[in-house]
Formats: sequence, C-alpha cells, structure tokens
Amino acid sequence: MEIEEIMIDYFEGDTTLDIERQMFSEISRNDTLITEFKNFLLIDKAMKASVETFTSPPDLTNSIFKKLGYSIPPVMKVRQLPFAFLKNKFFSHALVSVASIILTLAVIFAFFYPFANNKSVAADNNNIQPGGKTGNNFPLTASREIKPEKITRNNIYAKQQNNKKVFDNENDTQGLGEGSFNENITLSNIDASAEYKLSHNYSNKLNILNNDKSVFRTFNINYSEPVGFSFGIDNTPDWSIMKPAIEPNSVSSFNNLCISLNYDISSDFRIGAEVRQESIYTEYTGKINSDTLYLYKQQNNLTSFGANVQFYPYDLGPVSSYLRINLGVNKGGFIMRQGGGIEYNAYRDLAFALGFEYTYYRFFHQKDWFGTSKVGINYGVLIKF
Amino acid sequence: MDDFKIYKDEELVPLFRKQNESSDNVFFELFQRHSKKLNAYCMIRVYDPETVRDIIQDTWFEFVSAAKEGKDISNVQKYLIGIARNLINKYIKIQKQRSELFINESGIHLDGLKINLNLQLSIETNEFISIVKIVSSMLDEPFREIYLLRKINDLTYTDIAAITGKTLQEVKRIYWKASLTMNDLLKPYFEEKESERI
Repeated sequence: MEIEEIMIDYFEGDTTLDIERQMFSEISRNDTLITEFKNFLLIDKAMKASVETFTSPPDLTNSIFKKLGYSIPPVMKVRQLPFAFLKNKFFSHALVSVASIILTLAVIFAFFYPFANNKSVAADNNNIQPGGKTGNNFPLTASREIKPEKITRNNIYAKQQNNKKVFDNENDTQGLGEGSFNENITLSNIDASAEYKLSHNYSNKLNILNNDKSVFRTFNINYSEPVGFSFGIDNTPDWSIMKPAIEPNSVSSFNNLCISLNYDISSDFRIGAEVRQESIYTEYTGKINSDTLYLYKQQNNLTSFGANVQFYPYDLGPVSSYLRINLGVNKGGFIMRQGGGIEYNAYRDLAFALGFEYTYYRFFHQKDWFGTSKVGINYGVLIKF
Repeated sequence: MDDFKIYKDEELVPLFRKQNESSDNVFFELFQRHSKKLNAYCMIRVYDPETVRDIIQDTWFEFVSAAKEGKDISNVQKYLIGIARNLINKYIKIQKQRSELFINESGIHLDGLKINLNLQLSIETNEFISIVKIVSSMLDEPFREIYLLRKINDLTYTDIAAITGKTLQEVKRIYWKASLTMNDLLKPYFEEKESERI
C-alpha cells in the first residue's frame, strides 16, 4: 500500500496504531510527504466545512414543505440559562468597561472629593446683624471655618425652589414686607456682607449705595442656579438577549444616541421625554400567499420616542442613585424599558450619568404580536438649566 | 413543545409516522439535519439548477411517503441518498448525455449554464472551501459520487457499497483514487499559497 493511501485511510479513521507509527516515521523523513499530509488535512477540513454552504434556498424549502403539507414551525425558543448572556463576549467587555469606570470614579471621589474636606476661611456674612446690632457702624467681620454647601440633588432642588420663590417675589407688588431685615439695612453692613458678591457689578453697587430696595432684591437672586429643567445626551449601546442570527447591514447615523428633556417635579422624582436611535433584533414568523410560513430575522434600525419617570431613592454626597421606567413607541411597536444607575452631580448645572437598562419591545406583524428584549448600558451628560 | 434536537434519527422516524400536531416539528428537525448534505450530493452531481430543485423535492416526497408506509429507515441520510441517486440516474438516462464541464477564465460552463466563478468566490467567505467544492465537481464519475458520499454525506464504505452496488474493495479503491486526484488538482493552489507565505 502506498504511503498516500495510508494517509487517506488515516483521515478516514481506518488505520491501526502500527500502520500510523510507520506512516509518521516515513513522513518525518520526507519534506514532500509532510506537505502532502498537510494538503490532505486541509482538503478534509474544507470538504466537511463545505456542507454548511449547501443551505436550501428559502423558496425551495417552502416549496418542499408546501408540497408535503407541512408548515415551518415557529422558532423554537432557545433555552436561556440564567445569566447566560454574561458569556457573550460583547457583554463581558461591556461589564469590564463599566467596572473600570466605577472603579475610576470611586478613586476620584476618594482622593478628590471636592467638597467634604475643603475647609476654607471666609467672611461669615451671617455674623453681621442687620440694623446695627453689632453696636457700631464699622464693618464687623469674623473669621471661622465654614463648610461650603455640598452639591447634592436635594440641595440643587431646594435652590431651584428658592429661585422660583425669588422670582415670584419680584412680581409681588408689595415688595419686601415691613420688618424684613432689608428694610433696616445700613450702608456699612451692606459693604461688609456684600463686598465680594457685588464687586463684579459696579452698577448694582452704586444702586445699593443709593439704598434702592428693588435693586437690593436682585442681590439675592442667583441666576446661575438651575430651575428644574435638564437636557440629556446619552450613548446607549445594547445587546439582544436572543442571539442574533444576522448582523445589521448598516446602522443609521447617530445609532445608540438618546436625547432627553427632563423636569424635576420633586426632589425625588424627575419626568422627561426622549428620542432615541437604536437597533433591535427581531425574529418572527409570517405567512406569504396565506399558506407558506416564513421565518423572518431582522436587525431593525428604529427611532423611538418615549416618556421617562425617574425616581431617586438614595443620595450619597454628589452621587445619587436612580431607578427609571420608560414607555416608548416607534413605527414598529411599543417599548418598555426599566433600569437604574447613578448620577454624579459635578456642578450645579452639570451631571454625569451611568446606568443599565432592560428593554422589552412588543411589535405587531400581520395578525400576531411578537416580543423581543435586550439589555444595555447608558452613559451621558445632563445639562441643567 | 418538545425540543426534537435531542432526539436521534431512529427515534424521530417513528414519531414522524404518527400524524399529529408535532409532525411539523419532527419533519422540520429531520429536514434541518439532512437537507444540506442532500443538497450537496445533488448539486455537485447534477449541474442544472432546475433539475437539482426537482430532484431534491422528489427525494423528500419519496422519503415522507416511505416513512408513512412504515418502511424500515434505520439510516436517514443513507435512505435519502439512495432515493436521490435513483432519481439522478433516471435523469441522466433520460438526458442520455453526461454533463460536460469546462472551466475558463470567466467561470464554469455547464451544458450552456454559466456560473460566474468570481461571483461565487465573492459570495462565499472562505475561498478555499469554494475552490474545493468546484474541484470536487470536476472529478469524473464514479469518483465524484463516492468521494462525496464519503466526505460530505458521511456514509461508511459499507453503506456506499450497498448504495452503489459495488464491492467494498472497489469502493475503497475508487475513494483513494478520488482523494489523490483531488490532491493533484489542488496542488497548484497549495503551491501558490505556500509561495505567498514565504
């Protein structure tokens, strides 16, 4: 028997150990035989792999089923083990990314927490009693360590409410009531208490020197404080729970981008509306010509419009946690999302958000309803005004 | 709903004989398992796409009829190939001519049917797989058939001998010869790849 024939038998599993030993011994002494062996191996693998390229065309499959009186059954539901999606390489990469971000934020908070330990010496404006209670007309200042106010969601919300009241007072024809400390304010203590706040505004200072009450009221208004609205931009990568059988042919511009407009209705609740560009993988069946059942597999690029309700259960300094429910609609069906995350209030008018969400998409085809779901993360920036 | 993926062929066939609400699913499972290999056998042996379609449809039709009549089907793939082979032989007899295969730069011409080779290569992701498929279709009969039955349809030499009516030794000899011819035909490709690698 030729050595090539032995090689062929070897790939068919038709050789004994002795023959294999003899074959490999001969191969090891001859470079040409090594190449031959490799070629047989490559051909064997390619022929076996080629079977997958002989899939029946859909029209032939339908024709066979129709001729035999069978219909293609709806997709058998893939049994998903709990947390099986963690094995998905994209999801595991995302988890690593999220964990890295959280760890980085934790380190930043630990070392650079901007408010808790930042003790400064400042003029204590509150120590100056209006109406000359200090006993003389000289400006009296006191030095002590004070804790600046922390930026937290509750504080920001309180400021917002305060701002609204101030604006309301401006419209009040009664002005400041009798007995208000502003009534009795003297030039000297105005200088003392308001020095650093008004120094940038020469015209205001002049008006105060003229003891103009209406201008003095503007002294109390901080226009930079947000009034409750916020504008959010988020990136929202996600992964289908059902394993996609196809990849999107293309994705539209701004895919996985979400733009939202929100309003704080209380310190714990925020409502809002959003528009989002997203991909949703669907599998469903439908009949063509009323008797042939087709299985559709699609990667849809959709623009969804939704309404949010966000609840803030816990605050930890500038970081607040939130839970969110979203109901949405797009041209294919309805969307329900639920999720949670954290929001870092870096400044009074700027926050960063990081969260996760579960999305269920319910859609209608012909006379049937179908559903699909996905999980995702979202991270973005929130501008408050 | 039962997951019929876990059933063996010999368990599915008796289930398939009983006409009930799961018949669709049982047939679907058998179809999923065996259609690709059946398609490969028919497509490589017969070049005319319309004829291939008819042969595949008729094969499944005869298979279902045989199963419902209670015929002994211990090996589904072997049974399907047996039916397909008879149909292909009938087709060849009616045509009274063997398909001729020519390859030139622009593609393959099969009895007037033109297949764009470049298109085929671009559609299939693995260049080598498509080349091997084409080269296997260049083998003469009976080498092509026996090579396919062994490599793609996974039938044993004994099953192939039973289907083709040849002796076991004849089948082995033909298979060896087919394998060596495949290797020879692909040698220029391997050498080109080797030189690119170096």
